[in-house]
Amino acid sequence: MDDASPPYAPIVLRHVTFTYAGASEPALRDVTLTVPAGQICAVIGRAGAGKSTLCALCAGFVPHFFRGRLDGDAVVDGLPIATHPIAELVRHVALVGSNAFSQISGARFTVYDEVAFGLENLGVPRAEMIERVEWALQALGIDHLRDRSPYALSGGQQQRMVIAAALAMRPPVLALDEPTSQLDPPAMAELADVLRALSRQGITILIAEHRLEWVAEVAERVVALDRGAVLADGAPADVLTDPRLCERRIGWPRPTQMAARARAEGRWAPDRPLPITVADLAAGWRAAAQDGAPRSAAVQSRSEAHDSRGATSAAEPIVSLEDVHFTYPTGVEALRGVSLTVRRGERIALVGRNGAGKSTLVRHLNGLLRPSRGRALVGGVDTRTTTVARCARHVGIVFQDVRNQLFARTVRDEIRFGPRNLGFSPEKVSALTEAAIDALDLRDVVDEHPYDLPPARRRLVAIAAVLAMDTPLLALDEPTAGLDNASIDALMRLIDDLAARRRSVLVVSHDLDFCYEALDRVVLMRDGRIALDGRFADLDCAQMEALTSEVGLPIALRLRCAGI
Amino acid sequence: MTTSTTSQRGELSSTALALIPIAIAINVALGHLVQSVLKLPIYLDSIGTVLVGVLLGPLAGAITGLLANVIWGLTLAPSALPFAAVAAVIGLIAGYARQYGAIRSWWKMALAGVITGVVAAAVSAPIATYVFGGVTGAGTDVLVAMFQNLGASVLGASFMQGAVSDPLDKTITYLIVWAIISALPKRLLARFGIAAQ
Amino acid sequence: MQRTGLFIERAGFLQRLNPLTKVTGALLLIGATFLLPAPLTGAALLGGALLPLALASLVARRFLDILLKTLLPVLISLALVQGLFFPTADPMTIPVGPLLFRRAGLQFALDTGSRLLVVAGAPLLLFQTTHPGMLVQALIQSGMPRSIGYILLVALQLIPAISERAVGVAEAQRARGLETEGNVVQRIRGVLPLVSPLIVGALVEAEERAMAIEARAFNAPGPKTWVRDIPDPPAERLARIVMLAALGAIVAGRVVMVFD
Repeated sequence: MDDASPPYAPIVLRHVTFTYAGASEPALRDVTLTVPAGQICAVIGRAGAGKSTLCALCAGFVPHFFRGRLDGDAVVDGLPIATHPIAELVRHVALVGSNAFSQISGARFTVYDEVAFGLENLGVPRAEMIERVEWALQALGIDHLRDRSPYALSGGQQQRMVIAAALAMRPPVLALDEPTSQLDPPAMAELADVLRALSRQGITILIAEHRLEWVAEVAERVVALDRGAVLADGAPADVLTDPRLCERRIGWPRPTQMAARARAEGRWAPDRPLPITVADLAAGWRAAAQDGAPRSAAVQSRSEAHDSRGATSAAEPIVSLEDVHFTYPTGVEALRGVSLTVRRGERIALVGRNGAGKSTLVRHLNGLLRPSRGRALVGGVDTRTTTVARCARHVGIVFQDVRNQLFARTVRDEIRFGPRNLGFSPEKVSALTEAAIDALDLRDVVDEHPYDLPPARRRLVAIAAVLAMDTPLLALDEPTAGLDNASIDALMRLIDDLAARRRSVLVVSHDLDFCYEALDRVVLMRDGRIALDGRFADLDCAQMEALTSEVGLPIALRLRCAGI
Repeated sequence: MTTSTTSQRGELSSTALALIPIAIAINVALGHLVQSVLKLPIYLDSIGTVLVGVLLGPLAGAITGLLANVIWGLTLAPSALPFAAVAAVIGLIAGYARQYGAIRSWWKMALAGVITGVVAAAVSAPIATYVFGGVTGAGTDVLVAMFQNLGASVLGASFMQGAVSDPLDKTITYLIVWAIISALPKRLLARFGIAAQ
Repeated sequence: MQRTGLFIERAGFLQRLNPLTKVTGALLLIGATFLLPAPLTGAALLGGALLPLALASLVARRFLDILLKTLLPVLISLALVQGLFFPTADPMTIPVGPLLFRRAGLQFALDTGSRLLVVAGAPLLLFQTTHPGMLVQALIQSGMPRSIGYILLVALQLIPAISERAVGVAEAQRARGLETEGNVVQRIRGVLPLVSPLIVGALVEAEERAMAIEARAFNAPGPKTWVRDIPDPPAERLARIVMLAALGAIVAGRVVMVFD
């Protein structure tokens, strides 16, 4: 990607350095980047590496909304960013952030009117406005939702609506900041399809993203940032397998990691390039098998490696749900006879589609909800005879929306809140707090405000705050949402460490690969019942089939199921 | 370079436009939360209004209060509409409290709460008298009856009732807002033009 | 369609009118109740205007339901407090059981109550028969600042979401051992952990939403357009002029009476 063949480039950055007002370090350092028309260019990097800043810069929000010192030239669709206000730039570039909910204007009552809102503000004549809205609804595949309320859509639908609303203004450039962090796998696949279609129509797309597997599927070019500077820039197959990504803890996509492990063990031809997609991984494996490389152990995961020290049925139960039924006051029957026992030392993945009853089940683990029928025993006590605060000694829950949890002035104060509530001695509170800080690599930010951290580390603070309560069971709702690979590694180490100390973890997640790598027991929910309860290592093909049809399979099992 | 926090052509800034509706929704949601979860007899139904006033100044505060009551009227009880003027005054005073630097210490905020409570009582008394005949249908009507029985006029009794109950609620509201603002991250404080302490 | 305040989607008479016509009508009714003699005016307007209109608009049951639910406590309190304790020189009393009601107090309660029914009833009927989006658009088109309209519509749609988040905050903090069911001191300690996350989260979200406002060019200079058209037939424009003239006449009449 140099200037040798000069097709029109809608994004041209030359030696751009930006420092936020009040910050001591620049967020972007001497970034030079030219993106040609119609390209899907992904920007990767650790949390806080400058990905979001780069997106915001290309849309003019840096420096017009987030202020600071900007040096160098940034030109988008022919306009120098620094000298044009956002209201003008919106016709040239659209910025869509990860949280679709807060980007809904809220001033309109249907999807159709919401998409038209920006055009009304620009004073586009009605006939043209209608034409553009229709085009945007079609392009994003949300035509059938036109009369629904924006607030009644799923997260993935809301996100496509927000993109449609931005694209209706006909900008040739679209900047997406962590678009998958709130999406489940089917919505991620749909988004990838939409982006490919838009790119074919000539729209230039810049994506800041943590999920490297998704980047590998969708991007035509990858730029890796490290502490604000460009570390690598080129074709996905080159950048995503660059060893420097691992050195700087950005990490590799899973297929790349798996192939690299196989190569180290002599099961991947040394001259064969490392794959970045599952398809290439499978192809490589097939080739290796034909060459007579050792088989079967190929997809051994961490969880299988740890299998031997999994909990036995003799370990004492922390929570047991006995034929629990639960009906909400609205009449929705969310649980229809769930029996589940969580014992010491277990690592459980709770999976299922949205609405299958996972959230309702989690709220029974500490008495936030009490069974309409059946019993829930927490630490041996029926939740109907105790308080949530007492159950909190046995079960800690970290909910998905960490904003609901964080409120303290510093990371340390935030983490201290839980153990103090439980009435531990000041020495014990301090010891637990400091241990949790180290367990999640937060030592360098203990005195920062949680909201001054990037979203990925904010989530680690929320997890540390519950971890410090030292409960036998730690339940995590979508813990990997929006996390970079370095944070996910920290989380995996934590889960291993807890299991070693006979503490249990239950994870609710759509991220099947994470579940497979970090956990060993899988519980699948469907329509308020448990459809499957077993160990990843022992799943037969019929059970994998059931898992596939509801939530998909981890890459490793997909390969095993395909006979590789 | 344009900035988003200063207003353009006398219009509200985008930050104000974004914050005010959320503050209005918080007025409605918080009153319910504190009463249903903690079962404490405090209302806190003007916490969003005071927050906006303190963060964004008198105009934004007044608009928040005014529109909060309009929303209350639009969603639940149109009888709340006449008191929009009172809510606007509460937001206005919170904005002036910011200008006098009340946010710098808790006791200044408490004082602002007391003043707001008394002024709110004075503004709501004539409305309560001429539109509602001095009563609201809540438990505090007992106080109105008591003051009238002691010889006060309808207007006087209505004011005294407010002067007894409003300052306490508003002082608690201001103190909570103070506690929250003094624990806000630097980046947000900067957006609202408040230097970190 | 999701919650849109008090609005009830029906194909009745008032629903077909331009929002401005209904706003003007509501203003006329409220003006009349304050300026013309009570309790007759209140009763006449309730029985002669509001109720027939509610019937013609197919919302009569919900109209009465909400009107009574919100006003009944006030009306009862009005009768008791003012009936028993109204400051008056009039010695006339009416005994009801063991209670001794003052005649002037009951008269005051009746006057106020009759007015109150119209003062609350007129906007209630307006909101029940007018989609808030259309009401705000009509008001903006006739001169209300766009920012006011924006705030109203966003707040209206955010209330369910923020209330839901309030529940989420309570769940998250109780899961961290926050005692919400203990004694008063414990519960007072719970105020900040419950209120703070909601407000700090809201401020962070406000920043994101401010970006969205900028991204949708809300503050772009120049004339605005609307994707939806609100019909405004000449007959309704005439009706509005007539109603405003009537309101003017009532005000003028009152002013003349005062100076007579």
